[in-house]
Amino acid sequence: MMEMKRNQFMQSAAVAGTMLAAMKARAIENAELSARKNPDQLNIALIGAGAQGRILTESCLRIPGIRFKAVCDIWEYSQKYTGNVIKKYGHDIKIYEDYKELIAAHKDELDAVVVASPDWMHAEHANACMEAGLHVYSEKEMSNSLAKAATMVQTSKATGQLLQIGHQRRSNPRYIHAIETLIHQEKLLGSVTTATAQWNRAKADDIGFPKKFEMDAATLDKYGYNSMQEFRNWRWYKKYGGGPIVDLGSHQIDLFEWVWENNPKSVIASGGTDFYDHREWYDNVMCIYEYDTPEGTARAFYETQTTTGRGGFSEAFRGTNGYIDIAEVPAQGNAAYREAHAPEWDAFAAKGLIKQKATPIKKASTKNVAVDVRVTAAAASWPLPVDMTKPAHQPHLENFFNAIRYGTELNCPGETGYETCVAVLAVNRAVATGQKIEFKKSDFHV
Amino acid sequence: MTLPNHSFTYEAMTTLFEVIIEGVEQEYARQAAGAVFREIDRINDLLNKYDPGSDIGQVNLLKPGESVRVTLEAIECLERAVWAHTVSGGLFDPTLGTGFQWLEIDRANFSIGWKKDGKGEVNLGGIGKGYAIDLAKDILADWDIEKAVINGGTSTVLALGKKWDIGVGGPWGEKVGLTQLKLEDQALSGSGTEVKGDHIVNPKTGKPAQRHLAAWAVHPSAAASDALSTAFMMMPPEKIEVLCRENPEITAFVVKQDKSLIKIGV
Repeated sequence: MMEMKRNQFMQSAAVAGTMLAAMKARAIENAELSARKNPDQLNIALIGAGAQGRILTESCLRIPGIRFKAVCDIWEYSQKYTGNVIKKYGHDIKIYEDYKELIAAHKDELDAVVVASPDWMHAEHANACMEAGLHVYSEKEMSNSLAKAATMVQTSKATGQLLQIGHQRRSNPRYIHAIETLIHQEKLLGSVTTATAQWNRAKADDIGFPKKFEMDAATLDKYGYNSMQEFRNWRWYKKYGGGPIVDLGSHQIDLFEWVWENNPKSVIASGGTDFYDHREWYDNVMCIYEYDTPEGTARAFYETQTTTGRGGFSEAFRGTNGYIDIAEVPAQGNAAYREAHAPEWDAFAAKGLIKQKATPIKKASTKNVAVDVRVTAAAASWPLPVDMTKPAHQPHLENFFNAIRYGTELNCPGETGYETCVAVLAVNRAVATGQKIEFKKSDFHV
Repeated sequence: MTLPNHSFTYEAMTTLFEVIIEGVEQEYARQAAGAVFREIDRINDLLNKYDPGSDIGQVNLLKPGESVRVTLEAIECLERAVWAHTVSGGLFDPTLGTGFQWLEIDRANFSIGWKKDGKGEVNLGGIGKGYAIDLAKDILADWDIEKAVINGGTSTVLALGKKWDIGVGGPWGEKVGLTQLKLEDQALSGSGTEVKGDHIVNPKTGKPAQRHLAAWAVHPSAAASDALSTAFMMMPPEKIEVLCRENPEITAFVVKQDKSLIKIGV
């Protein structure tokens, strides 16, 4: 049994290696192509200029040599909201309502497009850009439809254009250190047998819109939206989005695949539309994934709640020798914890891989007693030594632009994003059917 | 028919923000307040010195001679802080005495950095809340909301669109008979010893500001009033008087150590 598993692993590793080599070759080819343009200055456009588009924009504006040429959004308020920021930075941009006009007018001068539209439009926007010869950074989730997500991978392969999916933790130096250095390379945690993650948010009502920026029914209809209410709250509707498990869960479920270097083999889930009557997607979901690892089955629990903020958002990777608590905001998780029976970690600290925290109790500070029982010994916490000293999305965008300029390997190419998309969208199916979903290896590949 | 006021609260920047909106339906007011609170969170994420990835966090990690590209918001907030530093004779200091002389703002390159001779640490705690309130005003304008009050943890209040009765409050205000002000398109900020004790540090001495018991500043900009109220706690009354004379939009109320109230620019 163990032998078979090893064989399977060797095989998938070989497949992965071949794919990696092919991807690298393509990236180098792309780099040569773009070198003929102007690698010092990359011209980009933004499709989808709402809150997330603005966040990505502000990161792009900090990266040297990135020049905005055009911005597209169907809503005038978003055009102004993000377009005005770009103009203030001195970039001469044209504003579009229809992405097709943007591509037609600018494809010859553009190198890449950042897509931050609602999930159901990612595939249409990204595919059109890649077909026009442009590289694409697309926000996650690739799509709320697996079939549409698959077309993005296919288009990227067919056109040779780069496709980076916005799982930004993949480029976060803190996460790279925790997962690739501490867990994979140094085996700090021993065998990682379980993981948990969550993203909980306090109760929140629907968001609205300034009256003077209300889109008329004809415009909404032209772009496929039933109402302003649905347009503004698209994440809650099945037509446009995938609900909280996709909006929030996807970022963290992606990490399970990164940690175990494997796709899940099954998922069970429970959830429902229990609190917000008018919303279509589940406002609470709990799920358990199973992963094959060389040491046996590993399990990961994930929950997302939208009626309580308890615990916020964080992930924990838990192994036989210890665990790592981590979160995109370091204050919510940024340390490794050693199990009492595990080998000492001082050597890791001496190499600077983790930080040694000062001993919590100094006996000398108490008078005439052996142990001061009023003081509780803190658990041995070993803070992670790497700081993320940029906005959350900037390194992932830099990785994308470096892939265009220098052929750097993408940290989350379409193929990887698709694997996560398969795992995450299955949760909604598991909730709907009440059935355990078993994955085949082939499910994760287009 | 006059619609009633609607009030909404939200925790941000380690305090409780409140938005009071008049003249629109409850649901529309709630949505607008939601947009205001999202904007305050956004500004906090840029200015929070405890986050090494925020604009100010990044500035504080720089070595002498280095600079980093930041948002326009960080630049504008810091420019207003520099203005307050200038008009207060250095008593309002966004580096809290750690190295204002080395701070460099390069607007043309959208960057903030330090001169090659040294560096300090930027802390916008004394102005960030007010600045966020100024930007929140623009959000309300997008929503065509004219009559509103934005209140940042009661230490800075911006009153918009009509004459609002704003309670000045606090034991020192009550003792000297300063309990209420009428404000319109003006912000009021208060600093004093009664809530947090001696929490204002004189950047020149590094010691708690002991000159007055309490001080309030009124200015059209909430960022300015926020910073000025801190500075007034440390400024001699005659200097405040000169400042208010040169800048007629500023009003000052100061409770001196002898528990007397002085009003300047009223």
